[in-house]
Parts: sequence; C-alpha cells; structure tokens
Amino acid sequence: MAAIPEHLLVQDALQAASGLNGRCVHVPPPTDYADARHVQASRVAELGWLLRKVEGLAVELASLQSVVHEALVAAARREVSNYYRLVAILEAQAQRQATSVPGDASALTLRRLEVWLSEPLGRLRVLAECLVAACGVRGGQLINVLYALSKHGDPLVRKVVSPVLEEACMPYFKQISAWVLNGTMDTTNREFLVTKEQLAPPHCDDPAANWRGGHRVNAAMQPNFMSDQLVADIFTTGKSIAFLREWCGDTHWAGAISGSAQQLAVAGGTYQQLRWLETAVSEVKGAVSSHLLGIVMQQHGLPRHLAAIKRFLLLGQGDFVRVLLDAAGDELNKSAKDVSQYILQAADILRRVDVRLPHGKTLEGDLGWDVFALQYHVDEGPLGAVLSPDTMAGYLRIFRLLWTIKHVEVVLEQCWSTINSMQRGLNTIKGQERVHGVAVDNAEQVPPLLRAFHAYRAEMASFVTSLQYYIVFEVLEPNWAKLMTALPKAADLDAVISLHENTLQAVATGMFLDGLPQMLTPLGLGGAGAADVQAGLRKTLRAVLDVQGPIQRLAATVEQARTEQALYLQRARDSEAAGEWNVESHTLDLRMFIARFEPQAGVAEASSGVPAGSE
Amino acid sequence: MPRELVTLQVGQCGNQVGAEFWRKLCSEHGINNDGIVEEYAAQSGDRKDVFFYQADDERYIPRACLIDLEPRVINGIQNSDIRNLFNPENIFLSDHGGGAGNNWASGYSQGEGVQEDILDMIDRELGYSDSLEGFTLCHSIAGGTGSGMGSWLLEALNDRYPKKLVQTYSVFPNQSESSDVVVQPYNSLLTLKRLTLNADAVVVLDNTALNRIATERLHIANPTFAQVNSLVSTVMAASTATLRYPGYMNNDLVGLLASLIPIPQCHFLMSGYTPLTLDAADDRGHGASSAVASIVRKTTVLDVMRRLLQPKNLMVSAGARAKEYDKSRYISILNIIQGDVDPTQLHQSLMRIRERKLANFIDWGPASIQACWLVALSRKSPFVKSAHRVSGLMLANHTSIRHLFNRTLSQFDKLFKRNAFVENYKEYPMFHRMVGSKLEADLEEFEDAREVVAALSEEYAAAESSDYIDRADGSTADISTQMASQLNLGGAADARAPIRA
Repeated sequence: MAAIPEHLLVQDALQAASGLNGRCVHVPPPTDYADARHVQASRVAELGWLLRKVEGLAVELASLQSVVHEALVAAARREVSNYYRLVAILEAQAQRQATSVPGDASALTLRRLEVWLSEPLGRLRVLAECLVAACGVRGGQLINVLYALSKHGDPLVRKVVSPVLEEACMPYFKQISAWVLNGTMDTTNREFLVTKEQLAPPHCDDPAANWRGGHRVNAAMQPNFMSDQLVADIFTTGKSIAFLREWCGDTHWAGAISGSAQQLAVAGGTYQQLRWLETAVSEVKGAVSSHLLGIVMQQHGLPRHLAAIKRFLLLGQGDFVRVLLDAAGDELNKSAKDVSQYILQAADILRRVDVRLPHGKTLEGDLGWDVFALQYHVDEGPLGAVLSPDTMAGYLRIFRLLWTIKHVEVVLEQCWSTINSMQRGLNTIKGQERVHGVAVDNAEQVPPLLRAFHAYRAEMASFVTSLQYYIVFEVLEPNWAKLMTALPKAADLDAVISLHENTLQAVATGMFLDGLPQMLTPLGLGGAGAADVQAGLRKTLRAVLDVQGPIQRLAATVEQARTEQALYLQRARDSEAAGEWNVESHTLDLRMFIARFEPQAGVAEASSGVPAGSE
Repeated sequence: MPRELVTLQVGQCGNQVGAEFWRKLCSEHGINNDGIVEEYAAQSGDRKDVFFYQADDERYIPRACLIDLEPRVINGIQNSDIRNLFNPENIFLSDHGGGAGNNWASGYSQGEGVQEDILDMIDRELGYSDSLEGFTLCHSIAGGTGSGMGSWLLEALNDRYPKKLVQTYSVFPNQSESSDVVVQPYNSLLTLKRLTLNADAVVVLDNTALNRIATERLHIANPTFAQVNSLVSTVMAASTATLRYPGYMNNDLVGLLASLIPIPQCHFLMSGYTPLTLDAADDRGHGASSAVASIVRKTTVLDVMRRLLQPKNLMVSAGARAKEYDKSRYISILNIIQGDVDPTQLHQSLMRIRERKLANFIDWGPASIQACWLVALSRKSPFVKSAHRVSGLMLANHTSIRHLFNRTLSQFDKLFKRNAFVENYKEYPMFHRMVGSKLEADLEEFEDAREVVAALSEEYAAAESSDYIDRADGSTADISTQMASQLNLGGAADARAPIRA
C-alpha cells in the first residue's frame, strides 16, 4: 500500500468521494487502515458514503409524494449537484496532475484534497442528518424539524439548513395562501395545517356541523414558528371561504378579498416574513369574515329570523299564541297519540312555522298539550350554521315551557269568564225569584263558593303572572336585548354563533331548563339541578289546570238550575193560561255538587308528599 | 283570526266619545277618514282587525254600532270629516227622533221597543268577526238614552250572547255642579244596577274629574265637550293598546280584565293617564292647543309609574278618592306603558316603586304585590307625533270607588224620600202595574236597584278589611278546605295555605 503514488491515491479518493469504489479506497471506508494516508483517504471516502446515503434518502423521500418533502429533496439535490461540480473540478485537476511532473508545489495531495473537501463533508453530514430526520415526519412536522436544526449552535449547520428550510416552507406557504385565498387545499396528504373531515350523514347536510366540524386544525402539522393566533386566523379565513362557496353559493367573496389578496401574494414567501404574513392573513380574515357576516346578516337576514323566532317560538307575539291556542285547543285536549298533525297544520300558521308532534315518544296519559311543539324551518344554508339543530332543539325546549304556561293562563282566563257568567246566572235566578217568587233552594250557598273559587283562581293567576313576569322581564328580554346589541358588533361568524348559543343557554338556565336538550319527553326536562324546580313547576301548573273541572261542574249546576227555573216558570205560565194550579217545586241541589267534589282517594296523598297518617 | 271587539255607542255622550275614540284609533293605525290605510302605514305590523274589519274594497270599517234616539250627534258625525268611516247600516236612529228626554225609563222602554232592529244590527255586525271576544259599550249613565237604552242593551247582550265579555266605558255625571238633569241620581242608580249585574268590567270616567283635569292640569278655563271627550278617547285608546300592538302578555280583553278583577262584583275600574297634555288630549288639533304648553316633558318609566299613582292624574273625582283614604285599598293595578321602553327598565322601575310602598293593596289577596300590580308594555303608534317618549295609562281597581256609589245613593235617597219626579217614570211599564183597571206606581225597581248598588258598595267596603275571605260562613270554609285538598294546593305539605280557611 505504501507504494501507491499520491496522485493515484488522490484520484482514487476523488472517485470514492463521488460514491464509487476506487482501487484502494472503498466506500464505505474500512476501519482497519493503519496508514495515515489511508485515514485521510477514508475520510474523503466518507463523503462518498454520505453521498450514497443522501441520494438514497432523496429517492426514498421523493417517492412519498409530499410537497414539503419534494421541496426538501430538491434542496438536497441542489446541494449534491454543487458538490458534484466541486468534485468534477478537483478530478480535472487530479487528471492534469497525473500527466505533469511530480513534486509540483501546487499539486493536489491527499492532504489538500481533505482540506478542499472538509467543508462539503460538513454540509453533506448536515444534509444527511436533515434527510434522516425527514424520514419519520410529514409536512408541518418536517418544517418543525428543519426549523429546530436552523436554530442549531453550529453556524455551519445553520448555514446549510436555512436555505433548505426556506425551500421546504415554500410549498407549505403556498398551501396556506391557497387556503386563505380560495379555501382550497391539497387533500391527498394530510400534511397541511388544516384537514378536511368527512362527516357522516345526517351531519353532512347540516351547515352547522359542517361549519363546526367540516375542517379541523391539525395541531401536529402546525409549524412552531406560527403563533396560535395566526393559525386560528388562517383556519377561520379558509373555513369561511369554503363555507361561502359550499353553503352560501356565493361568488362575490373573491372580489371582497382581492385587495388583501395581493398583499398576501407578495408576502407569501417564507417563514422569515412571518409578521408580514400575520398582517396579511388577518386582513384577509377581516374581509372574508365581514363578507360572510354580510351574507348571513343582510342577505339571509339572520336578525329577521331571530325576530321571527322570538315572535313565534318564544311566544313574543301574544295574539299569534292566542290564535294557535284557539285553533288547536279542541284537538289538543285529546290524548297525545290521537292528535292529528294534519288538523293542527290546517290552522293558519305562517310559512316557516310548523307544528311538530314527536312520533313514538309520547307517554301514556299525555294530552296533546304536553307534546305539542312548534318548529321554525330554516332552509337557507348559511343560517343553519347559527340556527343549528342543537339550538333549535333548545328553542323547542323553551317553547314547551312557555306554551304550558300560556295554556295554564288561558285556562285560568276561561275560569274567570265561567265564574262571571255563573255570577250572572245567579243574578238571573235571583231576579226571577224576586219577580215571580220562584225560589231556588241552596242558591245562597253558591256566592260564597264562587268567592272562594275566585280567590283560588286569583292566587293561581297571580302565580302564573309572576312566573311570566320573571321569564319575560328578567330572563327573556334582558338576554335578548344583550344579544341584539352584541350581534351587530360580532367580528365573525364564530362570534355570532357563540353569542347566540350563550343567549340560548342563559335563557334556558333562567327558565330552569339547564342543559340543552337531548330528549323531548315533556315531563323529563332539565338537568340535574333544575330537575326539582322543573318537577315542582310542572306539578303546580298541572294542579292549576285541575281547577277547571270543579268550576265547570259548578257552572253546569248553576246553569241547570237557571234552565230549570226558566222551564218551571214557562210551565207555570202555561198552566196559568190553561187555568190550572201548579204545585211543583224544585231545588238547586248544592249538596249534589259537593258530593261530586269529594276528594278522590289517593290524589291528594300522591302529590302532597306527606303520608296520610303523619298527623 | 283575531279576538274582535264590537263597540256599541249609545246616546249623545256615547256617540261623541265614540267618534273621538275612532278618530284616535284611525290616526294611530294610519287609517284615513275614508277608512283607507295610508301608504306609510301599510307595513306597520299592528293589529287593526280587533277593532276594524276590511270591506271588499280594502276599506277598514270600524266594528261599531252607533245608536241614538235623537239625531243631533249622529247627524253631526255624518256631516263631519269622518262621515265615510262608519258602515251606514250600523247607524240606528229612532224614527221619531225625539230622544229619551233624560228619562231612563223612556230610554229603556224605547230600547225594548226597537230590540229587533238593534239586535239584528248587532247580529249582522257579528257576521264580520270570526271569534268575537266581546262588546264595548260607550255611554253616560246620567241621561236618558245612554243610561236607559244602554241598560236595556246590557241586559239584552247578556241574554243573547251569554258567553261574550261586556266591557263599558261609562261616563259618570259631574257631581260638583248642579246638573240641569234633576233626575240624574235616578238614572245613574238604575244604570248602575245593570253595570253591576250585567257587565264584566266598567271603566269609570268621572266627568267631575275630567273637568277638573281639564281646568287644573291642562289650564283650560272652560273645557269644551270635545276637549273632555278627547281625554276620554285617549284613555280608551291606551287601554286597548295591548290588544292592538300585541306583545308577550295581555293580548286579549279577558286577560286584561281577569287580572284586574279578582272579585266579579267589584269590576269598576278607575283610570289615570300621564303625561296629560293637550298633545295627549288632542293630537288632531281640536281646540286651542297652541295656548297651552305641555306640562310634562321628562318622562322615564319610573316617572310615569309614580305619576300614575298621584291622585291628581286619576280620572275619578276627589270627593270619592279622598274620603276614608287610609282605609281604601287597591285591589289591583294595571299600568300600560307605551313608547320606547327598555323592558329591563320596566322591571327595575316596578321594583323601586314597590320598595317605596306607594300604593296600599288589599291584604287578603295574592301574596305578592307584583301580581296585583301588572305592567304591560305596548308599542306606541309610529304615526302619531308626540312630545313624549313614554306615556302611561293606569287602570286600577280601588275600593274608594264605593264613595262614588255612596254619593249616588245619597242623592237618590234625597229625591226618592220625597218621591220627587217619579211621575216621569210611572208612565213606563217597568214602573207601574195594573191593579184592577187602575194604573198604580210600582217603584220596586228603584228599591231593587238601590239594594244592588248598596250591596256593591258594601262588597267594596268589605274588600278593605283583611278578613274578607274569612267572613264567609263556616260551610264555605269547609268547602275551601276540601277544594284545597282536591286541587293539591293546600294541605299539610304547604305551610302557606292558599286560603286562610
């Protein structure tokens, strides 16, 4: 080995540096060289080994079909070709040397070669390291790996990695700007910041679910140098545009953002222009958000729909409720499963408001009142994001309580009318008694009874009114007013959605309807804390409805007495005309009424909560 | 679709007040004198159909029957700017046109005489409504037609439409000055009997107080009929505001009345209105509005509610209000606040007023004052310019109203003791009977009416005491207890029994 001339050795080493085996220098370098020159040659040969490795990795990474990897590979290949150029120059020099005179002072010795190649060796080492690191990761993660290396303490590493990082970032940033400006992205490799989710039916047709879950931030792919705010902005902007295109059928968004778009295109370079990117993205986001809001608020008229919901679902328009109660009353007094949705719908209800009866969920013993509900149809795409099925279910729940209260109120009003006409019936009886002397027994017992009924009714009405005052003036109106003031100031659709949901939640909580609904059973409303209040409220309202029966029975009794008296007088007149003497008598039997009125066993005990024998 | 109300205006006063009321409604709904909705009011979202129906030619026609026994006032309306507003078929004038001569009995018996015409007219009018809620009667109780014929009408309505509500706006005579109608106490008493027995609610419009308000509050030396009637129409329009501009609550008459009238007999309501200005009293420019500066400018809900409690804004005479003031109690209050009001502000105002305990309520009623004290919010018509952001109407059921009845009773007694002027009544069937072939006076009707009104006054007096419910005899108490257990409201579980039985 000692006989090998220097220039041959140099040529051999250069060959090894290009990744080829020489006559005496092999790639990879054997470890048992004793000669110092061998050590030098083998160092050069390490280059060859690295080169093979880099090229191998480059091929492997290129096959991943990942844009970021491709960029990395391209950067690596450029580095490699630079290196080849150097080797070619050195080889040319070594060739010349073989034909020239030995001992030339400028001759390319092994030592010189080592010096020449020491920097490329470092670069290739770093490059190889980059490529090795790139093997296990994808997209944004790769950028993170490179970014970490670009902060390496060794200036050489920084020097090598920085352009590579820059190159690798390029496709990533291009994706960002495509996403931000078009709402589109490459879905083949899940290596981008945002991923598109496939929603299972029925959610795939639900704009709210799409808005909420159609796209996600892939945190694993988030470059570390991007702030969370920037990521959120990027995400929202693209999501808004995708939403505009897919759900609003809107084509004007491009115009809305064109001003900011140019800036982004200029900025769209590298991670070093991050601050610029931040401003540009936030500008686009502002433009897109306000465009989307404009569509939701103005074009599709969200405030208008909210107002309609308040009028109908939250019973804000009292006369409508009244009409509904009048129109539906008879049908709803039937048992729940007999109520016909068809007949209810025939009631003249506005286009978007619909009657809803849950199928197969009715409980035994429920009347139509208990299961009746209104539905507000939202058929325009973007509105569905705000007025989502979840929130509509929340409205439904609120509606049912309001509806029950209204029903009770109406029943109490009917009781008032009944008592009043009873009073007038008694006046008639008394008048006839005075004029014609036809007494009705026990009639004097009715007025005190009426007064008692009236007092009961007033007490109940007072409770129902207080409840309504509380709900309207302390829960509904203030929360709604808050929503209405905040709504025009909302910055983006997400803000609108959360404002709306919070309002609904606050109202539901205020009305003891904690937790938005899962089920529609009429009696099982409310979360754990609210359950007691709810149950108590329901029981009380039920009890109020029960007052109707006795009052109507008494009214019937009085009416009967009045009719009998009138018939008696008629007969008396007839017989008088016929010249006969009438000796018939009759009574209004109040005791009959009281007998019918005796408490039924079990009813009082069941709801009083105290065992009958406790006293 | 709506719950319609048909207005029956009877007699001179009734028709004058009624005409003002319709003017007011028209201006609030943007309906012109021919019943056509002005273009600016086409999309106002109010409820015109409670008080109007739409004829085929898009005209809005008041659901009103104009009834009188003498032609002067109705002819006046037919020659006025609103002559095309009413359905001409709904105008009834007696053939002879001689009026009732300020005699209740004449009015009553003439009513009976033409009952078929009138009831046909009302039936026909009802054909225009889908679900009639009730009737509103406008009349005065002191004259002949409004009182007598109005009384007959009240009975007839009860008889024919027993399930419909009957509310009246009844103008009580001015008792502070000697009236030119000497039999006023007779007429009033006989009408009061029907108002007690046959009406669901009576809004008392005390002429004494209306004149006082016009002179003291509006600084009009000699208020004209038009000016006083304008005050009345303001009250009428405001009391129907929640029916015409529906909100969450109080959207039908029965709802309003049921909350105000917990005892059926005690259904006489006082009214108060603020801010009382000629703006409010007269937005159409009748009278000398330019001469009078508006009195109240600063208006918040709290101000309005507080002011409504001030006696000087109540349209019931001072004599009735001030007597035994310490004893008198509110049975219920309804404030209808109109205008640009933040609902949350409303609640706060009510809380603050409650803290100050400005109103004495009955102490046997429902525990919470809030229930007796109802506040309804209503929009204000966008078409009527007003200097005031917020205005308020109070309808109150107050026990001091009994002093008004007592006064009528004592005036009646003074006349009746001497059998004065009963000859005028004797010629009508209700006040005579045949004894053999001789016609004899039968004044039992007077005595009965006196009994009814006295009982009414006593009922109000009784309501002032805290043992109002308890004073019923033992059997009722038993029934109450039974009822309590039946309804699951009282019993051992609830320490606070709903009735102190």
